[in-house]
Amino acid sequence: MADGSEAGYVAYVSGRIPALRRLAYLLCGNDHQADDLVQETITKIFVRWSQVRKAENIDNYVHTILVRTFLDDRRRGWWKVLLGTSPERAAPAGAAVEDREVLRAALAKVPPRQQAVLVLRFLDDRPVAEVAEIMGCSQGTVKSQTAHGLTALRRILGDQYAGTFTYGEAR
Amino acid sequence: MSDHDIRLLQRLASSPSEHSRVDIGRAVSEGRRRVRRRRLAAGAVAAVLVAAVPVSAAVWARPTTHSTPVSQAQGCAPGVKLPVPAGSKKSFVVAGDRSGRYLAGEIDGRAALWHDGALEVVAEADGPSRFTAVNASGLAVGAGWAYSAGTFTKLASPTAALANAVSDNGTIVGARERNNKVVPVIWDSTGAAVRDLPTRNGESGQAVWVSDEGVVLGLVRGAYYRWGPSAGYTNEINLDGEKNLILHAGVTNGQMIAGNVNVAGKEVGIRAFVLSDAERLPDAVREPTAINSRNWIAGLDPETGALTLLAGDDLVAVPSGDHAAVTAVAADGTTLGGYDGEAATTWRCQITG
Repeated sequence: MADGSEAGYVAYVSGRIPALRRLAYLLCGNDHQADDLVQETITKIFVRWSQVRKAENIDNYVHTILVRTFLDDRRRGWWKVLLGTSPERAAPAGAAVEDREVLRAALAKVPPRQQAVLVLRFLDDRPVAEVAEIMGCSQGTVKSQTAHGLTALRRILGDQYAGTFTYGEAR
Repeated sequence: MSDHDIRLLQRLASSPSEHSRVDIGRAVSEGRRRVRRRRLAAGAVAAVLVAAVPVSAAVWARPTTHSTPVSQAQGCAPGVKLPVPAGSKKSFVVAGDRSGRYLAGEIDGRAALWHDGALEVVAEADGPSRFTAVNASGLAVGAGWAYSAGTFTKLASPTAALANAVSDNGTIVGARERNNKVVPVIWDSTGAAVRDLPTRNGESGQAVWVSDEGVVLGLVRGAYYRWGPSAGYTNEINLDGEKNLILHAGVTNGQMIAGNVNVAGKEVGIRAFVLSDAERLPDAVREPTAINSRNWIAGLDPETGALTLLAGDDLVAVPSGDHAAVTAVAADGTTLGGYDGEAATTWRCQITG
Protein backbone atom coordinates (compact mmCIF):
# COMPACT_ATOMS: atom_id res chain seq x y z
CA MET A 1 0.00 0.00 0.00
CA ALA A 2 1.54 3.23 -1.17
CA ASP A 3 0.89 5.22 2.02
CA GLY A 4 2.10 2.47 4.31
CA SER A 5 -1.29 2.01 5.99
CA GLU A 6 -1.49 -1.74 5.43
CA ALA A 7 -1.47 -2.42 9.16
CA GLY A 8 -4.53 -0.19 9.54
CA TYR A 9 -6.28 -2.09 6.77
CA VAL A 10 -5.53 -5.46 8.35
CA ALA A 11 -6.67 -4.26 11.76
CA TYR A 12 -9.91 -2.84 10.38
CA VAL A 13 -10.78 -5.80 8.16
CA SER A 14 -9.94 -8.39 10.83
CA GLY A 15 -12.56 -6.91 13.11
CA ARG A 16 -15.24 -6.61 10.45
CA ILE A 17 -15.13 -10.05 8.84
CA PRO A 18 -17.88 -11.61 11.02
CA ALA A 19 -20.30 -8.77 10.19
CA LEU A 20 -19.38 -8.84 6.51
CA ARG A 21 -19.85 -12.61 6.37
CA ARG A 22 -23.27 -12.31 7.96
CA LEU A 23 -24.45 -9.65 5.51
CA ALA A 24 -22.98 -11.59 2.59
CA TYR A 25 -24.70 -14.76 3.81
CA LEU A 26 -28.04 -12.96 4.05
CA LEU A 27 -27.60 -11.75 0.47
CA CYS A 28 -26.35 -15.05 -1.02
CA GLY A 29 -27.95 -17.63 1.25
CA ASN A 30 -24.94 -19.84 0.74
CA ASP A 31 -21.73 -20.14 2.78
CA HIS A 32 -19.36 -20.48 -0.12
CA GLN A 33 -20.78 -17.71 -2.23
CA ALA A 34 -20.88 -15.53 0.87
CA ASP A 35 -17.20 -16.14 1.63
CA ASP A 36 -16.29 -15.48 -2.01
CA LEU A 37 -18.25 -12.24 -1.84
CA VAL A 38 -16.46 -11.17 1.34
CA GLN A 39 -13.09 -12.15 -0.10
CA GLU A 40 -13.73 -10.00 -3.15
CA THR A 41 -15.03 -7.15 -0.99
CA ILE A 42 -11.99 -7.04 1.29
CA THR A 43 -9.74 -7.18 -1.78
CA LYS A 44 -11.53 -4.13 -3.19
CA ILE A 45 -11.24 -2.43 0.20
CA PHE A 46 -7.47 -3.00 0.08
CA VAL A 47 -7.23 -1.44 -3.38
CA ARG A 48 -9.27 1.60 -2.28
CA TRP A 49 -8.09 1.78 1.31
CA SER A 50 -6.75 5.32 1.01
CA GLN A 51 -10.31 6.48 0.16
CA VAL A 52 -12.14 4.06 2.42
CA ARG A 53 -10.27 5.12 5.56
CA LYS A 54 -11.25 8.75 4.96
CA ALA A 55 -14.97 7.98 4.62
CA GLU A 56 -17.33 9.57 7.12
CA ASN A 57 -18.89 6.22 7.93
CA ILE A 58 -16.37 3.55 7.03
CA ASP A 59 -18.68 0.65 7.85
CA ASN A 60 -21.45 1.90 5.60
CA TYR A 61 -18.95 2.59 2.81
CA VAL A 62 -17.65 -0.95 3.14
CA HIS A 63 -21.16 -2.37 3.14
CA THR A 64 -21.82 -0.38 -0.02
CA ILE A 65 -18.81 -2.05 -1.65
CA LEU A 66 -20.11 -5.46 -0.57
CA VAL A 67 -23.64 -4.84 -1.86
CA ARG A 68 -22.35 -3.46 -5.18
CA THR A 69 -20.07 -6.44 -5.57
CA PHE A 70 -23.07 -8.71 -4.98
CA LEU A 71 -25.12 -6.79 -7.57
CA ASP A 72 -22.25 -6.86 -10.08
CA ASP A 73 -21.94 -10.62 -9.66
CA ARG A 74 -25.66 -11.08 -10.24
CA ARG A 75 -25.44 -8.95 -13.38
CA ARG A 76 -22.36 -10.58 -14.81
CA GLY A 77 -23.75 -14.08 -14.71
CA TRP A 78 -22.47 -17.52 -14.39
CA TRP A 79 -18.83 -17.18 -15.45
CA LYS A 80 -18.20 -15.06 -12.41
CA VAL A 81 -18.92 -18.17 -10.35
CA LEU A 82 -15.62 -18.68 -8.62
CA LEU A 83 -13.77 -21.90 -8.96
CA GLY A 84 -12.36 -23.71 -6.04
CA THR A 85 -15.45 -24.09 -3.92
CA SER A 86 -16.09 -27.35 -2.21
CA PRO A 87 -19.49 -29.04 -2.29
CA GLU A 88 -22.18 -27.38 -0.24
CA ARG A 89 -22.35 -28.57 3.30
CA ALA A 90 -25.36 -30.75 3.81
CA ALA A 91 -28.38 -28.75 4.86
CA PRO A 92 -29.99 -29.84 8.11
CA ALA A 93 -33.27 -31.64 7.62
CA GLY A 94 -36.68 -30.45 8.71
CA ALA A 95 -39.76 -28.70 7.45
CA ALA A 96 -38.59 -25.28 8.57
CA VAL A 97 -35.44 -25.75 6.54
CA GLU A 98 -37.43 -26.79 3.49
CA ASP A 99 -39.53 -23.66 3.87
CA ARG A 100 -36.40 -21.58 4.13
CA GLU A 101 -35.00 -23.14 1.00
CA VAL A 102 -38.19 -22.41 -0.91
CA LEU A 103 -38.13 -18.86 0.43
CA ARG A 104 -34.48 -18.44 -0.40
CA ALA A 105 -35.06 -19.67 -3.96
CA ALA A 106 -37.93 -17.21 -4.31
CA LEU A 107 -35.87 -14.32 -2.92
CA ALA A 108 -33.11 -15.13 -5.43
CA LYS A 109 -35.62 -14.55 -8.23
CA VAL A 110 -36.51 -11.05 -7.03
CA PRO A 111 -34.65 -8.38 -9.08
CA PRO A 112 -31.19 -7.92 -7.48
CA ARG A 113 -31.57 -4.34 -6.22
CA GLN A 114 -34.96 -5.10 -4.69
CA GLN A 115 -33.49 -8.24 -3.18
CA ALA A 116 -30.65 -6.24 -1.61
CA VAL A 117 -33.10 -3.70 -0.18
CA LEU A 118 -35.28 -6.44 1.34
CA VAL A 119 -32.25 -8.11 2.89
CA LEU A 120 -30.84 -4.88 4.33
CA ARG A 121 -34.20 -3.73 5.71
CA PHE A 122 -35.76 -6.90 7.04
CA LEU A 123 -32.99 -9.44 7.54
CA ASP A 124 -30.25 -7.03 8.58
CA ASP A 125 -32.70 -4.70 10.37
CA ARG A 126 -31.38 -1.44 9.01
CA PRO A 127 -33.41 1.77 8.96
CA VAL A 128 -34.51 3.20 5.62
CA ALA A 129 -32.03 6.09 5.80
CA GLU A 130 -29.10 3.72 6.25
CA VAL A 131 -30.27 1.44 3.45
CA ALA A 132 -30.51 4.50 1.20
CA GLU A 133 -26.93 5.46 2.04
CA ILE A 134 -25.60 1.97 1.38
CA MET A 135 -27.57 1.60 -1.85
CA GLY A 136 -26.63 5.11 -3.00
CA CYS A 137 -30.25 6.17 -3.62
CA SER A 138 -33.01 8.24 -2.00
CA GLN A 139 -35.14 7.03 0.89
CA GLY A 140 -38.14 7.20 -1.42
CA THR A 141 -36.46 4.79 -3.78
CA VAL A 142 -35.72 2.42 -0.91
CA LYS A 143 -39.42 2.46 0.05
CA SER A 144 -40.59 1.82 -3.50
CA GLN A 145 -37.99 -0.90 -4.04
CA THR A 146 -39.18 -2.49 -0.79
CA ALA A 147 -42.79 -2.49 -1.97
CA HIS A 148 -41.88 -3.82 -5.41
CA GLY A 149 -39.61 -6.45 -3.89
CA LEU A 150 -42.26 -7.73 -1.50
CA THR A 151 -44.82 -7.79 -4.31
CA ALA A 152 -42.41 -9.75 -6.50
CA LEU A 153 -41.69 -12.16 -3.67
CA ARG A 154 -45.38 -12.73 -3.03
CA ARG A 155 -46.02 -13.28 -6.74
CA ILE A 156 -43.17 -15.79 -7.05
CA LEU A 157 -44.24 -17.67 -3.94
CA GLY A 158 -47.88 -17.51 -4.97
CA ASP A 159 -47.18 -18.80 -8.46
CA GLN A 160 -44.89 -21.60 -7.53
CA TYR A 161 -45.53 -22.54 -3.97
CA ALA A 162 -49.17 -21.75 -3.36
CA GLY A 163 -50.23 -23.20 -0.07
CA THR A 164 -46.72 -24.11 0.99
CA PHE A 165 -46.56 -21.50 3.70
CA THR A 166 -48.57 -20.89 6.74
CA TYR A 167 -48.77 -17.20 7.34
CA GLY A 168 -48.46 -17.18 11.08
CA GLU A 169 -45.60 -17.13 13.47
CA ALA A 170 -42.37 -18.56 12.22
CA ARG A 171 -41.98 -22.15 13.20
CA MET B 1 -47.13 -4.29 2.43
CA SER B 2 -48.05 -7.13 4.71
CA ASP B 3 -46.52 -7.86 8.09
CA HIS B 4 -47.03 -11.51 7.26
CA ASP B 5 -44.79 -11.15 4.21
CA ILE B 6 -42.11 -9.51 6.30
CA ARG B 7 -42.30 -12.11 9.04
CA LEU B 8 -42.12 -14.79 6.43
CA LEU B 9 -39.04 -13.19 4.92
CA GLN B 10 -37.43 -12.86 8.33
CA ARG B 11 -37.27 -16.63 8.59
CA LEU B 12 -34.21 -16.28 6.39
CA ALA B 13 -32.35 -14.26 9.02
CA SER B 14 -29.70 -16.81 9.89
CA SER B 15 -25.93 -16.82 10.18
CA PRO B 16 -23.21 -18.42 8.07
CA SER B 17 -21.26 -21.43 9.34
CA GLU B 18 -18.44 -20.68 11.74
CA HIS B 19 -15.86 -22.01 9.32
CA SER B 20 -14.67 -19.04 7.28
CA ARG B 21 -12.69 -19.30 4.07
CA VAL B 22 -12.05 -15.56 4.02
CA ASP B 23 -8.30 -14.91 3.93
CA ILE B 24 -6.94 -11.43 4.59
CA GLY B 25 -3.46 -12.38 3.38
CA ARG B 26 -4.90 -13.43 0.06
CA ALA B 27 -6.86 -10.18 -0.17
CA VAL B 28 -3.64 -8.23 0.45
CA SER B 29 -1.64 -10.07 -2.20
CA GLU B 30 -4.47 -9.94 -4.73
CA GLY B 31 -5.09 -6.29 -3.86
CA ARG B 32 -1.43 -5.48 -4.45
CA ARG B 33 -1.62 -7.19 -7.81
CA ARG B 34 -4.70 -5.18 -8.78
CA VAL B 35 -3.09 -1.93 -7.75
CA ARG B 36 -0.16 -2.78 -10.02
CA ARG B 37 -2.40 -3.71 -12.88
CA ARG B 38 -5.02 -1.09 -12.45
CA ARG B 39 -4.74 0.20 -15.95
CA LEU B 40 -4.66 -3.28 -17.30
CA ALA B 41 -7.89 -3.77 -15.32
CA ALA B 42 -9.50 -7.15 -15.87
CA GLY B 43 -7.80 -7.27 -19.21
CA ALA B 44 -4.72 -8.65 -20.75
CA VAL B 45 -4.06 -11.27 -18.17
CA ALA B 46 -7.21 -13.21 -18.86
CA ALA B 47 -9.64 -14.73 -16.45
CA VAL B 48 -7.73 -17.97 -16.52
CA LEU B 49 -4.68 -16.27 -15.09
CA VAL B 50 -6.41 -14.71 -12.16
CA ALA B 51 -8.45 -17.70 -11.07
CA ALA B 52 -7.43 -18.81 -7.62
CA VAL B 53 -5.66 -22.07 -8.21
CA PRO B 54 -4.66 -24.29 -5.35
CA VAL B 55 -2.29 -26.85 -6.77
CA SER B 56 0.07 -29.05 -4.84
CA ALA B 57 3.37 -30.99 -5.13
CA ALA B 58 6.33 -32.25 -3.19
CA VAL B 59 8.92 -29.70 -2.34
CA TRP B 60 12.43 -29.45 -3.64
CA ALA B 61 14.86 -30.39 -0.92
CA ARG B 62 16.07 -26.81 -0.91
CA PRO B 63 14.55 -23.92 -2.80
CA THR B 64 16.72 -23.15 -5.78
CA THR B 65 17.98 -19.63 -6.14
CA HIS B 66 18.71 -18.02 -9.45
CA SER B 67 21.52 -15.55 -9.65
CA THR B 68 21.85 -15.60 -13.42
CA PRO B 69 22.31 -12.01 -14.53
CA VAL B 70 20.04 -10.59 -17.19
CA SER B 71 21.65 -11.58 -20.46
CA GLN B 72 23.53 -8.94 -22.38
CA ALA B 73 24.13 -11.06 -25.51
CA GLN B 74 20.46 -11.37 -26.32
CA GLY B 75 17.53 -9.11 -25.82
CA CYS B 76 14.25 -7.60 -26.91
CA ALA B 77 13.72 -4.39 -28.85
CA PRO B 78 11.29 -1.79 -27.48
CA GLY B 79 7.69 -2.84 -28.04
CA VAL B 80 5.71 -1.78 -31.10
CA LYS B 81 2.03 -0.98 -30.65
CA LEU B 82 -0.25 -3.17 -32.74
CA PRO B 83 -2.61 -1.40 -35.15
CA VAL B 84 -6.09 -0.58 -33.87
CA PRO B 85 -9.01 1.32 -35.45
CA ALA B 86 -8.76 5.10 -35.13
CA GLY B 87 -10.22 6.32 -31.85
CA SER B 88 -9.76 3.03 -29.99
CA LYS B 89 -9.17 3.53 -26.31
CA LYS B 90 -8.10 0.23 -24.78
CA SER B 91 -6.53 -2.77 -26.40
CA PHE B 92 -4.45 -5.71 -25.30
CA VAL B 93 -3.23 -9.13 -26.37
CA VAL B 94 -4.46 -12.12 -24.37
CA ALA B 95 -2.77 -14.99 -26.22
CA GLY B 96 -0.79 -15.96 -29.27
CA ASP B 97 -0.21 -19.02 -31.39
CA ARG B 98 2.94 -21.16 -31.37
CA SER B 99 4.62 -19.05 -34.07
CA GLY B 100 3.69 -15.67 -32.66
CA ARG B 101 2.29 -14.70 -36.08
CA TYR B 102 -1.24 -14.62 -34.68
CA LEU B 103 -1.99 -12.53 -31.60
CA ALA B 104 -5.50 -12.52 -30.13
CA GLY B 105 -7.12 -10.21 -27.65
CA GLU B 106 -9.48 -7.31 -27.33
CA ILE B 107 -10.08 -3.77 -28.53
CA ASP B 108 -12.62 -1.73 -26.55
CA GLY B 109 -14.64 -4.74 -25.47
CA ARG B 110 -14.61 -6.53 -28.83
CA ALA B 111 -12.54 -9.58 -29.72
CA ALA B 112 -9.62 -8.73 -32.00
CA LEU B 113 -7.08 -10.77 -33.97
CA TRP B 114 -3.77 -9.59 -35.40
CA HIS B 115 -1.86 -11.53 -38.07
CA ASP B 116 1.77 -10.76 -38.90
CA GLY B 117 1.43 -7.43 -37.16
CA ALA B 118 -1.72 -6.36 -39.06
CA LEU B 119 -5.22 -6.18 -37.62
CA GLU B 120 -7.19 -9.03 -39.22
CA VAL B 121 -10.57 -8.66 -37.55
CA VAL B 122 -12.51 -6.92 -34.80
CA ALA B 123 -15.76 -8.58 -33.71
CA GLU B 124 -19.09 -6.83 -34.10
CA ALA B 125 -20.81 -5.51 -30.98
CA ASP B 126 -23.00 -8.63 -30.74
CA GLY B 127 -20.01 -10.96 -31.16
CA PRO B 128 -17.41 -12.11 -28.65
CA SER B 129 -15.96 -9.50 -26.31
CA ARG B 130 -12.51 -11.06 -26.24
CA PHE B 131 -10.46 -13.79 -27.86
CA THR B 132 -8.81 -15.97 -25.25
CA ALA B 133 -6.74 -18.23 -27.50
CA VAL B 134 -5.62 -18.69 -31.12
CA ASN B 135 -3.95 -21.60 -32.91
CA ALA B 136 -1.33 -21.75 -35.69
CA SER B 137 -4.05 -21.75 -38.39
CA GLY B 138 -5.55 -18.52 -37.10
CA LEU B 139 -8.55 -20.21 -35.47
CA ALA B 140 -9.36 -17.87 -32.58
CA VAL B 141 -11.82 -18.60 -29.78
CA GLY B 142 -13.53 -16.50 -27.14
CA ALA B 143 -16.71 -16.37 -25.10
CA GLY B 144 -18.98 -18.81 -26.92
CA TRP B 145 -17.51 -18.09 -30.34
CA ALA B 146 -14.86 -19.26 -32.77
CA TYR B 147 -13.40 -17.24 -35.65
CA SER B 148 -11.49 -18.44 -38.66
CA ALA B 149 -10.68 -16.92 -42.06
CA GLY B 150 -13.28 -14.19 -41.96
CA THR B 151 -16.12 -16.17 -40.40
CA PHE B 152 -17.44 -16.08 -36.85
CA THR B 153 -19.17 -19.27 -35.69
CA LYS B 154 -21.17 -19.62 -32.51
CA LEU B 155 -20.03 -22.66 -30.56
CA ALA B 156 -22.86 -25.15 -30.01
CA SER B 157 -24.01 -25.27 -26.41
CA PRO B 158 -27.43 -25.49 -24.80
CA THR B 159 -26.30 -22.97 -22.18
CA ALA B 160 -23.87 -20.06 -22.01
CA ALA B 161 -20.37 -21.23 -22.89
CA LEU B 162 -16.80 -19.95 -22.76
CA ALA B 163 -13.83 -21.16 -24.83
CA ASN B 164 -10.45 -20.99 -23.11
CA ALA B 165 -8.03 -22.83 -25.39
CA VAL B 166 -7.70 -24.32 -28.87
CA SER B 167 -5.22 -26.91 -30.15
CA ASP B 168 -3.46 -26.65 -33.51
CA ASN B 169 -5.80 -29.31 -34.92
CA GLY B 170 -8.86 -27.33 -33.88
CA THR B 171 -10.07 -28.96 -30.68
CA ILE B 172 -11.58 -26.33 -28.41
CA VAL B 173 -12.00 -26.53 -24.63
CA GLY B 174 -13.62 -24.30 -22.06
CA ALA B 175 -16.65 -24.35 -19.83
CA ARG B 176 -20.39 -23.98 -19.88
CA GLU B 177 -23.15 -23.37 -17.41
CA ARG B 178 -25.12 -26.35 -16.20
CA ASN B 179 -27.61 -26.14 -13.32
CA ASN B 180 -25.92 -23.10 -11.79
CA LYS B 181 -22.55 -24.80 -11.98
CA VAL B 182 -19.66 -24.30 -14.36
CA VAL B 183 -18.66 -27.54 -16.05
CA PRO B 184 -15.57 -28.15 -18.19
CA VAL B 185 -16.35 -28.90 -21.83
CA ILE B 186 -14.75 -29.84 -25.13
CA TRP B 187 -15.73 -29.24 -28.76
CA ASP B 188 -13.97 -31.64 -31.15
CA SER B 189 -14.15 -28.95 -33.82
CA THR B 190 -15.75 -25.56 -34.39
CA GLY B 191 -19.01 -27.09 -35.63
CA ALA B 192 -19.12 -30.02 -33.21
CA ALA B 193 -21.61 -30.52 -30.40
CA VAL B 194 -20.36 -29.67 -26.96
CA ARG B 195 -19.33 -32.51 -24.65
CA ASP B 196 -19.13 -32.13 -20.90
CA LEU B 197 -15.94 -33.43 -19.31
CA PRO B 198 -16.53 -35.51 -16.21
CA THR B 199 -15.44 -34.25 -12.81
CA ARG B 200 -15.45 -36.09 -9.52
CA ASN B 201 -18.83 -35.68 -7.84
CA GLY B 202 -19.84 -33.28 -10.60
CA GLU B 203 -17.70 -30.50 -9.21
CA SER B 204 -17.48 -27.16 -11.00
CA GLY B 205 -14.43 -26.51 -13.15
CA GLN B 206 -13.05 -25.21 -16.43
CA ALA B 207 -10.84 -26.74 -19.10
CA VAL B 208 -7.94 -24.37 -19.82
CA TRP B 209 -5.60 -26.22 -22.21
CA VAL B 210 -5.82 -28.94 -24.87
CA SER B 211 -3.22 -30.79 -26.94
CA ASP B 212 -3.47 -32.11 -30.50
CA GLU B 213 -3.72 -35.56 -28.92
CA GLY B 214 -6.79 -34.54 -26.97
CA VAL B 215 -5.20 -34.37 -23.55
CA VAL B 216 -6.99 -31.64 -21.61
CA LEU B 217 -5.89 -29.73 -18.54
CA GLY B 218 -8.41 -27.92 -16.43
CA LEU B 219 -9.00 -26.27 -13.13
CA VAL B 220 -11.37 -28.16 -10.89
CA ARG B 221 -11.97 -27.00 -7.36
CA GLY B 222 -8.95 -24.79 -7.81
CA ALA B 223 -6.52 -27.59 -8.67
CA TYR B 224 -5.15 -28.65 -12.05
CA TYR B 225 -6.91 -31.73 -13.34
CA ARG B 226 -5.98 -33.78 -16.40
CA TRP B 227 -8.35 -35.62 -18.70
CA GLY B 228 -7.02 -38.25 -21.10
CA PRO B 229 -4.38 -40.81 -20.16
CA SER B 230 -3.86 -41.02 -16.39
CA ALA B 231 -6.72 -38.68 -15.67
CA GLY B 232 -6.71 -37.09 -12.25
CA TYR B 233 -5.43 -34.19 -10.24
CA THR B 234 -1.88 -33.25 -11.14
CA ASN B 235 0.20 -31.21 -8.73
CA GLU B 236 0.42 -30.20 -5.14
CA ILE B 237 2.62 -27.25 -4.37
CA ASN B 238 4.61 -27.48 -1.17
CA LEU B 239 7.37 -25.01 -0.49
CA ASP B 240 9.49 -24.16 2.53
CA GLY B 241 7.54 -26.62 4.66
CA GLU B 242 4.12 -25.22 3.73
CA LYS B 243 1.80 -27.63 1.98
CA ASN B 244 -0.97 -27.30 -0.61
CA LEU B 245 -0.16 -23.69 -1.35
CA ILE B 246 -2.71 -21.64 -3.27
CA LEU B 247 -1.42 -20.68 -6.71
CA HIS B 248 -2.71 -17.14 -7.16
CA ALA B 249 -1.99 -16.81 -10.86
CA GLY B 250 -1.45 -19.74 -13.14
CA VAL B 251 -0.38 -20.34 -16.73
CA THR B 252 0.23 -23.68 -18.40
CA ASN B 253 1.44 -25.12 -21.68
CA GLY B 254 0.18 -28.59 -20.82
CA GLN B 255 3.50 -29.89 -19.59
CA MET B 256 4.40 -27.20 -17.09
CA ILE B 257 2.44 -24.88 -14.84
CA ALA B 258 3.76 -21.58 -13.52
CA GLY B 259 2.33 -19.13 -11.07
CA ASN B 260 2.91 -17.51 -7.75
CA VAL B 261 2.15 -18.58 -4.22
CA ASN B 262 2.18 -16.90 -0.86
CA VAL B 263 4.67 -18.48 1.53
CA ALA B 264 4.86 -17.03 5.04
CA GLY B 265 3.42 -13.73 3.83
CA LYS B 266 5.76 -13.40 0.86
CA GLU B 267 4.84 -13.91 -2.77
CA VAL B 268 7.03 -16.47 -4.51
CA GLY B 269 6.98 -17.49 -8.17
CA ILE B 270 7.02 -21.21 -8.90
CA ARG B 271 7.09 -23.54 -11.85
CA ALA B 272 6.39 -27.25 -11.90
CA PHE B 273 6.19 -29.89 -14.57
CA VAL B 274 2.78 -31.56 -14.46
CA LEU B 275 2.88 -34.32 -11.82
CA SER B 276 6.26 -33.09 -10.59
CA ASP B 277 7.69 -31.00 -7.80
CA ALA B 278 7.54 -27.25 -7.68
CA GLU B 279 10.63 -25.11 -8.15
CA ARG B 280 11.08 -21.50 -7.16
CA LEU B 281 11.28 -18.97 -10.00
CA PRO B 282 13.69 -16.04 -10.09
CA ASP B 283 12.21 -12.82 -8.73
CA ALA B 284 12.33 -11.21 -12.18
CA VAL B 285 9.47 -13.48 -13.29
CA ARG B 286 7.89 -13.90 -9.89
CA GLU B 287 4.52 -13.22 -11.44
CA PRO B 288 4.36 -15.46 -14.54
CA THR B 289 1.97 -14.25 -17.26
CA ALA B 290 2.75 -16.54 -20.23
CA ILE B 291 4.56 -19.77 -21.05
CA ASN B 292 5.56 -21.16 -24.45
CA SER B 293 5.96 -24.74 -25.67
CA ARG B 294 9.66 -24.71 -24.67
CA ASN B 295 8.74 -23.82 -21.08
CA TRP B 296 10.06 -20.30 -21.46
CA ILE B 297 8.21 -18.13 -19.02
CA ALA B 298 7.39 -14.45 -19.36
CA GLY B 299 6.59 -12.62 -16.18
CA LEU B 300 7.17 -9.56 -14.13
CA ASP B 301 8.78 -8.50 -10.91
CA PRO B 302 5.93 -7.01 -8.92
CA GLU B 303 8.30 -4.79 -6.95
CA THR B 304 9.55 -2.96 -10.02
CA GLY B 305 6.97 -3.82 -12.69
CA ALA B 306 9.84 -4.78 -15.04
CA LEU B 307 9.08 -7.48 -17.61
CA THR B 308 11.45 -10.39 -18.21
CA LEU B 309 11.51 -13.52 -20.33
CA LEU B 310 13.09 -16.57 -18.70
CA ALA B 311 14.43 -18.48 -21.73
CA GLY B 312 16.10 -21.64 -20.52
CA ASP B 313 18.29 -20.32 -17.73
CA ASP B 314 18.66 -16.86 -19.24
CA LEU B 315 16.78 -13.83 -18.05
CA VAL B 316 16.05 -11.49 -20.95
CA ALA B 317 14.73 -8.00 -20.20
CA VAL B 318 11.61 -6.86 -22.09
CA PRO B 319 11.48 -3.05 -22.30
CA SER B 320 8.14 -1.55 -21.27
CA GLY B 321 6.36 1.14 -19.30
CA ASP B 322 4.47 0.65 -16.06
CA HIS B 323 1.53 -1.74 -15.74
CA ALA B 324 2.70 -3.84 -18.67
CA ALA B 325 2.44 -7.60 -19.17
CA VAL B 326 3.61 -10.16 -21.72
CA THR B 327 0.77 -12.59 -22.44
CA ALA B 328 2.06 -14.46 -25.51
CA VAL B 329 5.50 -15.96 -26.24
CA ALA B 330 6.30 -17.59 -29.59
CA ALA B 331 7.97 -21.00 -29.43
CA ASP B 332 11.30 -19.54 -30.59
CA GLY B 333 10.94 -16.46 -28.39
CA THR B 334 11.34 -14.07 -31.33
CA THR B 335 7.86 -12.57 -30.97
CA LEU B 336 6.06 -11.58 -27.80
CA GLY B 337 2.58 -10.11 -27.41
CA GLY B 338 0.96 -8.28 -24.57
CA TYR B 339 0.27 -4.85 -23.20
CA ASP B 340 2.89 -2.14 -22.79
CA GLY B 341 0.93 -0.15 -20.22
CA GLU B 342 -0.97 1.74 -22.92
CA ALA B 343 -2.17 -0.60 -25.68
CA ALA B 344 -1.80 -3.98 -27.40
CA THR B 345 1.89 -4.42 -28.16
CA THR B 346 4.31 -6.81 -29.79
CA TRP B 347 8.03 -7.16 -29.09
CA ARG B 348 10.76 -8.65 -31.31
CA CYS B 349 13.48 -10.48 -29.44
CA GLN B 350 16.72 -12.19 -30.25
CA ILE B 351 17.17 -15.32 -28.19
CA THR B 352 20.31 -17.35 -28.71
CA GLY B 353 19.33 -20.15 -26.33
